[in-house]
Amino acid sequence: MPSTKEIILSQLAEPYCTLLSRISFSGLEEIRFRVGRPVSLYYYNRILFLAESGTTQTQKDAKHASKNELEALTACLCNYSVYAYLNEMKDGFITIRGGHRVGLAGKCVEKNGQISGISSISGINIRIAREYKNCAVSLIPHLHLANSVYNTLLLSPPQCGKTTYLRDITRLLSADFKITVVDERSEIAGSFDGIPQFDIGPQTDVLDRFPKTDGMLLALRSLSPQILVTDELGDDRDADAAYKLYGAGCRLIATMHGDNLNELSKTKKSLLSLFDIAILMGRRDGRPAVSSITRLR
Amino acid sequence: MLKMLGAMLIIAACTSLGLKIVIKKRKTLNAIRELSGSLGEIAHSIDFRLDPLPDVICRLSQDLFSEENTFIKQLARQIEKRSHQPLSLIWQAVLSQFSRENALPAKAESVLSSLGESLGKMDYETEIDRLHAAQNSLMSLLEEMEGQHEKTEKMVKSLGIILGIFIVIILL
Repeated sequence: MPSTKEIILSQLAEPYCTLLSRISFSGLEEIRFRVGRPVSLYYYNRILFLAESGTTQTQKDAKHASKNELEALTACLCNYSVYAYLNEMKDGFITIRGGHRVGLAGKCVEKNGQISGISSISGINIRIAREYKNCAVSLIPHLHLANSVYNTLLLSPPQCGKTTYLRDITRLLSADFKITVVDERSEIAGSFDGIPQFDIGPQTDVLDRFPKTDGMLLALRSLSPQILVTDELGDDRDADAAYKLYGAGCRLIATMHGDNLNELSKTKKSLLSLFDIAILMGRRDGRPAVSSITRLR
Repeated sequence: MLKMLGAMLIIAACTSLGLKIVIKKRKTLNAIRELSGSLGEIAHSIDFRLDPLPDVICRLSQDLFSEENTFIKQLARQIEKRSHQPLSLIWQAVLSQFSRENALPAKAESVLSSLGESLGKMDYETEIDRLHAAQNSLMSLLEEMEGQHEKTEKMVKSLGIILGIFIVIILL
């Protein structure tokens, strides 16, 4: 089975395919390309720059990305088929093979008052998705409720491992329950070409890139899940859809952005009232970790 | 006896020259027909499944039962071999080789070359429109060439024989 490094390199255009083959991918979280600026490598505990011979700590020795290189890189990452990725590009990112997410910065293209794409790409951020299997094993006993699970919220600021834990919870619970993942941004299952790139368990169905609310209701009608898993609940429409799930006896495990429950109870009261327990995530020694588990009712 | 044999050889050589010209022309027509059909198939696949171009091309090349070394088959092979190179570059390289092998007219080559430059860089509607436009250009070129070919085919064959006879008469 090819490694993360091999999978990513196979999707990059030259010269980056060769240059990045010289660096270590261990602990690497992001590779950022910005026009006219050094290519940055974000490891979990430090930032380095890409150089001709590997990595460097100084900007002046670093490889600076050119506009043409970024254009070629974008085309290559889109598999030379921009039309196939336009829907994703509207959201500012695409998912590549291996489930890795590529964020794009550039000029907004509008059509009838709506974002229809991004042109003049000036920045590319390859976020390396990693599977930390069994990272959520210790959480599972807290989620179990007789023959079911608690409605569970995973809460944290960005980059603290919500989705990683959510994916592992899904995989672990999938041994006992029928689960549907509504993966609005292909982050949980990392689907590429409709196929989940991560192990999400034997009894898990994925609704890839479905709008959250529509996906939740569709899952209820057609896939009869015992547990529905989704990422980043945000508004009252999501809450309404979740109440419909509860009416059908389905449980919900979801994530939300936030760094404390008190703040959230003021701004997102209706969403918070959906859950039985909240798991607060943070970072310890630069790594995602569980900060606290709170019973909400 | 030797004179007779020589005369027959000259006539046969000139006749086969005429036939060769006709076969080469037919090969060109078949290549244009194949290219036009392939563009239609690519457009159809994109329209139906929104699949990325390299996937569409590789799938089409597998669907073709023909043993012939078609443009799509050559393209699929090169895409697999040169995965880090831009598709437009691979397209141009395969096109120029295919054009040499099949004596494609300059007009067909230019239509395909400009299509290759933009292929995969546009939105869905533009992509389909461009493929159909290129297909239509090839179809009308094909019609025009077929019309001419029908007119000239018999003439070229007869001219081969006549040339042979003419050379024999002069030599005798």
